[in-house]
Amino acid sequence: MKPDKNIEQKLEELADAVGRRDSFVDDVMTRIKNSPVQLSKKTKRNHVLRRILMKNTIKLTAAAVIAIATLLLFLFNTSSTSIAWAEVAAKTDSISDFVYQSQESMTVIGKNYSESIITTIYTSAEYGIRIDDEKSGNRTFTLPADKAIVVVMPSIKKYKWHPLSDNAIAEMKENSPKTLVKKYIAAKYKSLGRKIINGVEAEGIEVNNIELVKSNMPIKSYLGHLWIDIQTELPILLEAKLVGENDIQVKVILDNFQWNVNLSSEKFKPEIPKDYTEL
Amino acid sequence: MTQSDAELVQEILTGNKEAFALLVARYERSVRAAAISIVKKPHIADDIAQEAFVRAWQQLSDLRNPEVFGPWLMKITRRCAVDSLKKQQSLKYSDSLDSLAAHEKNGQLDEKNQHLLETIGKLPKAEQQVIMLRYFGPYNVRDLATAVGRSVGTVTKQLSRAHHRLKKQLQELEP
Repeated sequence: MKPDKNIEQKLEELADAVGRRDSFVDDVMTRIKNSPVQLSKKTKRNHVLRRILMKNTIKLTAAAVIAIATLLLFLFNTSSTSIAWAEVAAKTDSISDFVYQSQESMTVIGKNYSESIITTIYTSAEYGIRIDDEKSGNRTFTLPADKAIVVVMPSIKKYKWHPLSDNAIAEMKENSPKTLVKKYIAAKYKSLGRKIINGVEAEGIEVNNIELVKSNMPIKSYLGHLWIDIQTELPILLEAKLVGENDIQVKVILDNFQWNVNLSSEKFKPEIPKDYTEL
Repeated sequence: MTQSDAELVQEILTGNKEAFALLVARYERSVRAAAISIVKKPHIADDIAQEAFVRAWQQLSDLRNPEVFGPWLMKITRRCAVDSLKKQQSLKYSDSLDSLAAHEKNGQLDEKNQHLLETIGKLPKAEQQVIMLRYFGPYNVRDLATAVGRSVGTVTKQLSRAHHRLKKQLQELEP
């Protein structure tokens, strides 16, 4: 059943009318700070395991971190290509194995609240994806051949196995940086010219079409940059900044790319020591 | 994609109190809308919304399933609103909210929006919940289904029914 467009529009207008108050978050946090009753500490310990599990549940989507970049940066479908950039897209697309780092941070604009996740991601066309989380030390293996996702958590000596659906595999492929670059270059973009990034001369392009950004929250603004090493003609930096209507800002940086590396099957074999137990 | 509610809840429970601000920002509008739909007065609703978040903070460790933070918060908001109405002696505990809410004109919402919000407040609870979280909160249908523990199909039907009811109610009032 399709929702009634008119009602949907009215509801969205109502949501806008209800709106937000600039100091609301601060007011709530002040009230919390001054509240005589604070968050119960008795059960905090019980939540540590749950927290770890949840962290990894998110990681279990495997492509999630990558997907952030996809969703924020590259879902563009208009056309404005040049020959040079088309070559970049083809070259990137031809690479089967690569490694990169992903950094996602989320903040509330004007506040000091922030969260961040830094991961190193190994991608092999043959073996799958491995995500190493810097903070927790957890390793997540997405293994299409086995249709499985395996998370290894050294800090608590646990591991977790999940089935990997065909849809998730397709989504994972769709969200690969290779696909992102291809879509990005096929999109309508603005040239950023050239600049030196970490000693490398790069040329960049910018996209900002919020209509093509998928997100869980309504989007207020969006900006995405792709930088290419002019010597290798391969991406060296992908950046995106998205601001939601609730003033939550998400920044994603994909960098430290190593294209065309040799990734052995060993890299994608979860090593689970004997004393680890399943969650 | 941003950090999920569940992730933020776990962050908070393991000591990162500031992460709660992200949840406040995420749900401010849903909570305010729910409060206005019950008490009708924006200035009171704002206070209720703040109180709801404070209560949520205090009771967060009792939340067994962090994935349902949104629906759980909406329940707290309704309780806060009911408590507020009781304090105003305009509510008898056993009466329904819609019949007992004050009928004062709203200073910030125009008449149509005010009426729409009141009509949402009269929807069956399950439909009211999905409307509040879908349009005023951070959810798309798929995530909403996960949050409320129902299938996507069920949530879609509930939204559709809610749309139909709202449309019918509004049509009855329009000339």
